[in-house]
Parts: sequence; C-alpha cells; structure tokens
Amino acid sequence: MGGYVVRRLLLLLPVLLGVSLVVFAVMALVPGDPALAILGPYATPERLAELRAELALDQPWWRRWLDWLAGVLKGDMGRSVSLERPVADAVLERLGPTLLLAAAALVLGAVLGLAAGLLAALRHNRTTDRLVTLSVLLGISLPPFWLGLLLILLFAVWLGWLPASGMITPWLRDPGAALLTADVLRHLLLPSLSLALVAASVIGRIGRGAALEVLAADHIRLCRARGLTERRILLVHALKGVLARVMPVIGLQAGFVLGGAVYIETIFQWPGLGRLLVDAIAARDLLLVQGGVLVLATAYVLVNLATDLAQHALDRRTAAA
Amino acid sequence: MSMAVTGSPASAAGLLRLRRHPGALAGLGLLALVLLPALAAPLLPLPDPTLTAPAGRMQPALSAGHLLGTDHLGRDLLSRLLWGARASIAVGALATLIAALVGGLLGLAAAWLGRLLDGVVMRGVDVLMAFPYLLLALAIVAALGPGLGNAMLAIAVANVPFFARAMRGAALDIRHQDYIAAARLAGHGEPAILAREVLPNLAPTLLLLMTTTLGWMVLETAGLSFLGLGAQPPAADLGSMLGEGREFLTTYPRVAVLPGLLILLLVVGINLLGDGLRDLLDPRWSPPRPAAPAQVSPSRAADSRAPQTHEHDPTPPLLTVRDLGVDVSGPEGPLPAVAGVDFHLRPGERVALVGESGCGKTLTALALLRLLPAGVSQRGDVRLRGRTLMGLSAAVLRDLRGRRIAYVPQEPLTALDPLFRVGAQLREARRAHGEEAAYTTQALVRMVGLEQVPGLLRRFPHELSGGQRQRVAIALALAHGPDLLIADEATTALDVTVQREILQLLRRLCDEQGRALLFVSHDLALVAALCERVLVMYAGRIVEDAPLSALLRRPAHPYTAALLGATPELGRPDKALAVLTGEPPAPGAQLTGCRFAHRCPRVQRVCRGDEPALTDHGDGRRVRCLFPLEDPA
Amino acid sequence: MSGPLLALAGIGKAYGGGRRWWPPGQRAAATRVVADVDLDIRAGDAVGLVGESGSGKTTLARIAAGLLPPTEGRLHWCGQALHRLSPAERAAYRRGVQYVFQNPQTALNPRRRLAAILDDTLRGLTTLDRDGRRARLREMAAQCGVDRALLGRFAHQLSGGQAQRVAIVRALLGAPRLVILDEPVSALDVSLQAQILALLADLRRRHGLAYLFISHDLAVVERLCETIAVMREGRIIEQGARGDVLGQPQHDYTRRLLAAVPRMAPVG
Repeated sequence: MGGYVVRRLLLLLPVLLGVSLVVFAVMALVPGDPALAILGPYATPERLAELRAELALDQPWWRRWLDWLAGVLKGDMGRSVSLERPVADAVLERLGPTLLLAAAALVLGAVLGLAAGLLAALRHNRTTDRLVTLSVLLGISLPPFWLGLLLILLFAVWLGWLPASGMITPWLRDPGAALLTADVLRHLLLPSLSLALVAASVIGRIGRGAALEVLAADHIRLCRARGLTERRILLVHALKGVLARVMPVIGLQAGFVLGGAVYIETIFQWPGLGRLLVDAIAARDLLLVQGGVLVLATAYVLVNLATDLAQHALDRRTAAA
Repeated sequence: MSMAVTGSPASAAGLLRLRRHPGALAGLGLLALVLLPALAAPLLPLPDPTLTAPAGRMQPALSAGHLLGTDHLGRDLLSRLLWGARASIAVGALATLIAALVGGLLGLAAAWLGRLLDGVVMRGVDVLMAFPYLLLALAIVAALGPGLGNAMLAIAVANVPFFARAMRGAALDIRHQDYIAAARLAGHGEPAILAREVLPNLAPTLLLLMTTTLGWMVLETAGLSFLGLGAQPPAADLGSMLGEGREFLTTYPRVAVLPGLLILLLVVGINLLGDGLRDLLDPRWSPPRPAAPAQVSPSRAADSRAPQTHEHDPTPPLLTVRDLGVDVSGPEGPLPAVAGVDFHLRPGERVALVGESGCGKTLTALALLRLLPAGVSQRGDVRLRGRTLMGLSAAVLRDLRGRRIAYVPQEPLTALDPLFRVGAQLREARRAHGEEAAYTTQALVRMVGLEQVPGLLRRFPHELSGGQRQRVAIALALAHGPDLLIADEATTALDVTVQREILQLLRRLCDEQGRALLFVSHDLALVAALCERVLVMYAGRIVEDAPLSALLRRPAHPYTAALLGATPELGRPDKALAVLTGEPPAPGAQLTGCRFAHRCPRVQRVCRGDEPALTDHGDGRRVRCLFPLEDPA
Repeated sequence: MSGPLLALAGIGKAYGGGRRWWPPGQRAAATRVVADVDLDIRAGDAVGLVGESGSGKTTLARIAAGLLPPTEGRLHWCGQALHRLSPAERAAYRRGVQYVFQNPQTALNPRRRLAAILDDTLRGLTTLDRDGRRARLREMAAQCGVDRALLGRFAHQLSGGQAQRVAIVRALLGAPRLVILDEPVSALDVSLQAQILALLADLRRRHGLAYLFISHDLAVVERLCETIAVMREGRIIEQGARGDVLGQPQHDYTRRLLAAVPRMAPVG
C-alpha cells in the first residue's frame, strides 16, 4: 500500500507539469498577436507594449513557460485585463463555490448511480431492471444545460419551491450559521441535481454491468456453496467488488461535473469558476482563462488521485501505471 | 464446451441481425424521425430560418404559416429547429470523424511502431486526459475564438486522447494474438499483416467507439454553442437556439425546451443504436429471450420407482440421487443437458464422476448443492441422509451448504474473493453457520498443510501460488467438517507435482475424517489415485457405474473402454491408443436411442431404438448398454 | 546431412532490466525466462520439451520459430547462424519451421474464413499459382482429416478438435521440415487428443517431419518423441534419449516429475 501511494504521488508531478504546459500552450494557439487579441483593437500602443513586455513575447517559448510556471508556484498568475485585479485572487475566490457544487453533484451522482446499478443487477431482466436501463439511457443522452433549464422551470417557476439562481439569498442579513447553511443547500439542490442526474446515469450504467459481472463470478457462487447468507454475500462481497470496479468511473465523472459546472453555473448564476471562465472567454481575457483552467484541471487530477487510491485500498491487485 | 456458435462475426452478417434487436431498431427509428426531416429541410416548404419578422414574434404553435410558432425575432421555429439539427449533427459527426481518424492513427502507431513513440504518445494522452474534457475544449475555443468551426475542432481535439488510448489498447491486444504470429510464420510482411489481420479486427472496435462517442460529441458541441462559443448568429445550431431561448424561459418556455428535446431525441437514438451495434458485433450475442428463473420440478418418477441400487448394501446411503435432470436454456427453449442421473454415495465413500467436457458433470455437481445458475433448472430428487433437498427453503438449504455438503471448485484463482485477505475469508467461513465451526482457523491451516507459509492470513489470494490457493479453498470447504465434499476438477489447473500433493491431501482428509468425496474429473488416471468407485458420464447420462478396479480391468460400456483406451499411459508408449471417431453430441441434440450410438464400435440397429436403461450387472456394477463388453471372468 | 536441422546455442531471454526513465529511480530487475539453453533438433527427429507452467517452454519454442528474438545466444539453421543466412536461405528457414499453437481458436483470425487464411499462408510460403494452391490445400486437408466444407466457415464455428486440425493443415501447407507443437492437445478431451496424436504420428511418418513437441504431459511426450528435454525455471536440466530420461532420470526434479504422474492403476 505504502509503495503504491509513493509511486502514485511521484506520477502526479509529470502530469501536473504537462497540464501546465498544455494550459500555457493555449496562448500559442492564438492567431496573430496575443497582446492585441487580449486588449482588443482599441488598445493604446503604450498598453500593448506594456502587455507584450509583461508576456515577454520576445523570449523563447520554454523560457516564457518556465517564468509563468514559477509565477504560478508563487501564486502569481498575472493580472486579469477584464477584472483589473490579479488572476490568482479572482480564481481562488470563485474556487470554493465550484468545488462545493462539484462535490455535491459527484456524491449525489455516485450514491444514486450505485444504488440504481445494484438494484438493476439484482432484478436482472425484470421490470425494475428495464426501468433503470431506460432511465440511465435517457440520463446519458440528456444535455445537462437543458436539464437545468427544465428543473428551473418546474421547481422554481411553476412550483416555486426552490430558488432559481445564485448561491445565497441576497437580502439575508446576519443569518447565522445554521440558517446560512440551509439557504446555501436550498440554492445548491437544483444545480447539483442537474449535474448529478447525468453523472448518476453513467455510474449506474457501469455499476449495473459491474454488479452483473460480480454476481456471476465464481467466488460469489462459492460463497453460496459455503452457506453464507445472501445478505452478507451482497453487502460484503458483491458490494466491495462493484465499488472497486466503479471507482475509476467515479473519478472520470469528477471531470464531467467540474467541466459541466461551466454550463450549470451559467444557468443558475452560481458564483463559481465556471461562470468566471465563460465571462473571461467572452472578454478574451486569456490570462484569466489560463488560471481558471489550470486550477480546475489540478482539482480534477487530485480527485482522480483520490479515487485511484481508494480503488487500490479496495483491490490490491491494481498497480501504478 | 466445443459447441459451435452459429452466425458469423463479420460486420455485414452482424448488421443483418439488426432486425432481431429491438433496442437498435428503436434507435434507428428515433434517428430516422429526426434525421430525415433535417436532411430534407432544403426541400421542404419551410420559411427561411434566418428571416426575422419583428411584427410576428413569439407566435404560438399552429399559427398561420408557422407550425411550431415563431421565436423572439419572429423566425419560424420549425424551420430553425430542422436547420439547427442539420448543423448539430454535421458538426458532431465531423468532430467524431476527425477525432477517430487522428486518435485511431496515433493509437495504432503507438501500439505498432515501438516503445519510444508509444511512450511519447501515451504520456501526451495522460496529460490531455488529466483535463476535464470540456475544459480542454473550452481552452481551445478561448484561444481560437468563438465559432461553430472552432467549437467543432476543439471538441474533436479534446476527444483525440480518448480514441488514441482505446485504439492503442485494442491494437496491442491484437498484436499479441496468436494469429498475428501465425501470419508472420506465413512469411507476410508488416503492411500485409496490418491490412489483412489487424485492421479488420480493429475496425469494429473503432466503429463502436465512434457510435458511442457520437452522442457525446453532439451534446458537447451543443453545449459550447449554448454558451455562445459555437454557432454565431444569425446561423444557429440546436445548442445556440437553446442558449438564445433561455432568456425567455419563464415567458415562452417552448423556444428553449424544443431544441433541447430535439437534442435528447437525437442522442437517445444514437446511443440506442450504439448499444445495439455493441451487441451485434459480439459474436456471442443472441436475441433476448424471457429468462426462466432457476426452478425445480419434482421428479415424476421419484416416488414410483424404487431406488434401483444395491438393496443388499448394509450402510444406509449418505446421498441419494434419483432421476436427476438439468435443463439449460437454449435459443429455442430449454435443452436437457443432463437426464436420468441415478446414484448414491455411502458415508466415507470416495466416488469419481468422470466424463469429457460438456458431458454435464459440473451441472450434476452443482445440482447436488442446488446451486445451478439462473436460467438452468433441475428435475428429480436429491436426498441427503434420506431427507430430500427439493422444495427446501433457501434458509434451510443455506444451512446445509458448507455444513453438511461442501464444494471445492476447479479454478483456484477465481474461487476466492480477490478483495479479501485469506484470514478474513477463513474467519467468515467459520462463522457462516452461527454456532462455532468444527475447527479453529489454525487447525484448518494445519489441516491443509499451509502452516509454513509466513503471514498467510494477512495475504490476498493473488499473493499465493495456485497450489496454495487450492489448499485455502479446501480449508474453506472443511471449516464445518462436512459429511460430503464435492471437488469439481479441483486439480485440473495445477501442475502435476502440485496436483499430486492436492490429491494426497484430499485423500487423507477424507480417510481420517470419514468424509465422503465426489470427485468430478475428466481424467481417469487421476481418479485411479483417489477413488473407490467411478461413475462415467457421457452426453448427460451416467453410462457406467462400477468399482474402480473392476472398471479399470474390464470396462463394460464401450465408451468407458474407449476412454481408457485413449488415455496415454506413462511407461507404455507402444500402447495402441483407441481412436474414437467423431465428437460428442451437443446438449439437447435430437437423438433417438443410445447417445453413444453414432461413435460406438459395437453399435447395432436396436441401439438406435429406445434409449437403454442403466441396468444392474451384479458386483456393484451398472451399465447403460444393450451390448456391454463381455465379462472375461 | 549429419548436422542438426535447427540448433539452439546458449539461448537466453530476459525481459525488462536496464534503467527505466519512469518512474524515476526504479531499476527494473531483469526477469530471465530462458537461460543457457543448448538444444539440437535433427531432421526427422522428434524432441519433447517437458516442464511445468512458467518453466519457459513456450518462450523457448517461440524463439526457435523466430517469433521472438533471443537476448542471448544464437540459432543455427542447417549449420548456419541465422543472421548469416542469405535471403534465399532465410526464406528456406521461414518455410522450414512452422508452429502449432496451444489454442487453435486464437491462432485463427476470427474475422476471416478459414479458406482465406489458408490461401494466404500458401501465397506467403509458396510460389504456386491459383490451381496449384487449391490442389495443395485439398491434399493437406484430406491428409489431416479436415472436411473441405468446413473451410468456408469461421474459426469459432469449429469445435476444438476441428480447429486444431485446421491449424495443423496451415502449419504443413508450406512443406516444413520442422514443426513446433506447443501443447497441441492440452485443451482437448482424451478421445480427441488420441485422434490428434495419431494424426501427428501419421504426418511425421509420411513427410519425414521433425517435431519440437512441448507438453506438460509426460505420457504424451513419451508416445511421440525419441528425445526428451526437461525444463525448469528457464533451463534445460536434463536431456537425452527417451529411455534414458524416463528410465534412469539423473536429475532429482525429473524423478519427482515422473513420480507425480498419475498411473492408471487402482490404489489400495
């Protein structure tokens, strides 16, 4: 176990280095003069020259990458042109809400998906199984942004049960911790559900297959031959096997909820990184885009590290790539 | 199982089977529903989708000239939907093609062109896959600027690593297949091997990946457009229509809901078709049938027919099997894989059940435990110490399994739960029946000769050798000191030296503890080292039941004789091996008369009449043959 | 000709080893699967290679067939080191050594019809024209007891015994001098095993073939081979004439192996 953790942590470094290189390369993809692209056609020549110097466009690319990387490590991601403040501040301020949304969606999606998958496998080829299979098919085919709109229409507009946008009710004054938590949760429910239903469908689909495979495995039949209770076979042996198989898929779904946050935050006016990114792209604020993408990708890499370690804890046969 | 599967894996034939796949058909139908009108949009009498009419904005559905009404700029909604669907499909399909082509080539090159390139490509793939996939696309669009073409390119690039990794895996798998080695032996060069052996086997995988990603690509390009980064006004795809309609969600939900619904229908159709293709490209797939739950029907003969075994026997039998039959599900209903199995086991007796693969010996063994998988049903009667196991509740059966009857399986690698330590599995087996087990964990470990293995209880099954695993499986089976041990090919997967140790162990454990053993095997020579009596099975029937020495000296059934004659013996290289022609009948084959008749050297016309019964021949021997071999005595 | 047809001299095969650039600091230990193997196969000779799983039998067989490059040692074909062979001699080696795999189903391309696979083999190994190839295929199919109607099928539509016969047909199409048989009957039931063993003995007599016969089953090897080599942990620990190795085994491991073989005699 210890050796695996060390190896897995060591593997993290080159991946993160590569991620930073790809993020940096975004600038190189910009057709024409990046400074002009960022500042727009009405920029003064002085400002343009200033930005060119700041971006050090006269340096070779690897030099610029290393300089940028050194800055990032010191917490300096440059200055956002559109927000007129340091990129790092803006990104970190928005990171919390996005992580909250993504974590809620992922946990909800994993629980719903695993439950549906297991249930379908236990009732293989019966009505429950068919219903789950059908819902899962609909779920993976749903555009999450459309689902978000439908949820707003139903629960916010027509039924009026839940708020349609934002994270905290603006006119709430000195609410106290309990009330504030309740308020955030009310706001969190619809956006996280929009992401969770899609993630749950993917997890449910894989989970059902994994459960069918595990339930048909020799060692499960032998548990029966040994006279173990059905309850123990399912809750101990089958569940652990399914979890070990589904864990990597849960890691992949972290990528979906972190990326999908871009839509959902836009629809629900959730004050997170995703919305910041969309605004930054619209404003051609490339440094802000780089900062936001880098932070979200790092979060994703870390979640995957966690699911890999969890999978290894469940199944010691897995080895670091 | 050497049952030949009908139907070919060739794609063309696979596509023909589409008719029998309801899911794929539904997918095709849905796709046609969306695609045909979208493709026909230029031919249909529709208003120009970009023609604005400020006076006629937000017309309701079914208004004059506008079947689905108009949007906020007075443009015809139906026309915009159909033209938008065209754009979405085209962009999704193009992105898929680009990603598949580039990714596929990269993957193939990585798998085929050596380690260095493989390393470079795969590290690049690792890095790109470390991005949440949509973010990568977003970053690319951010650099290139918004636009439908750029969005398509971004989605394609973001998918390249996925295709590269999957195709590399598939290509590596093919590369290590024996048929590639065979092609090399035939003197073919790499280009010929790639073209003739690799690509045909790779193509279905690629096709499948493309159909499964197509839906995803359509969703993601729509997503970028929804954010305003894809199609730019006045052009529109379904995503950008949805994005524009969002502003009017509360007042005119139709404008936003309809494009989303169309996307959903399109993607559901694609996914259904993709799932269907996956099934159809799998040669093992057969059209779904209503699954019969595992069931038990009592034997009609159980009560009417007296147990026709050895009435003079002093000890009452431990296990009595009467008219046991097992039906497996076939494409056209249940097939009788085992029928008319009658035998008994005395306490402490070691009996072998011998036969070639597919003869039904494992099904028989599982039926004794009432452990047949779903879709397989059993008939007849199984009694343990005179008490029938048929019609018992699951709880009572559970209590018998492991406590009175135990089972040791063939494959020690899959027999133990790979995720639990040996100690935990032993502890669990000991606690399975409430009361304290017959042996302590330490005693069990000693009993199977594993006390020398350091840290055994803390190990996982994959940290043990094959022989050690099989010993653990035996320890698990013996935890409660069962009266009967059923060992199903328990040594087949092991090397000879290990096999011999396990045989000796089984024999000692049964001898010392007075336990009966039913040893299922395909190998008569193995059986000779262990058992006192042999049941020979052929095509689902017991054809001979005889004491071991009698059976080896003078087999009565021609099949037993053939089996003995065909087994090579060490030290007798000149023994002429009896060669049986032909192969055993498939389960459920329509045969009249003796199941062995078509391979039997002694066959007569009457053999093809009624099936012969298993009749008593004295000296504890029963034979199912009209013309058994002459008794030399 | 007096020299051996194929000679293996000091053959070794190791996997891994050397410095790996990633993960850093990890030096993979080389795993030696085969080490210091000297083995001569004379024309018309049948050599049995016996050993338990993981002893390196299959690796050695693949090296002998030219499917896997050895990391140490040399192969000699008709007395010439393999890397010194002229293109014509190389082609003769390629034609001269063929291989029958343990699992015939995986050795036949699942997406091509058997007739196409076999025709390809003939194209690769011979210069026969269309009619010549057809005649040759018909002849070998008949000799191996393959019904020609089967050739229109795909591999998975055959039973194990039928597929192994087709694999043997393929190995013989180019008129090889040495056929390497890698556990060719292990996956088959005894009655089919007896059929294939009889076929192999018959083909050898008819074509004067040399066999390198790999098996874990001593009784099978004893029937078919005059020379036997025992392999353990990558090395040949004992080799010699059948009677010597099986009758007066020198090595302790060979004795244990022999003792473990189940005998067809009732025990007390």
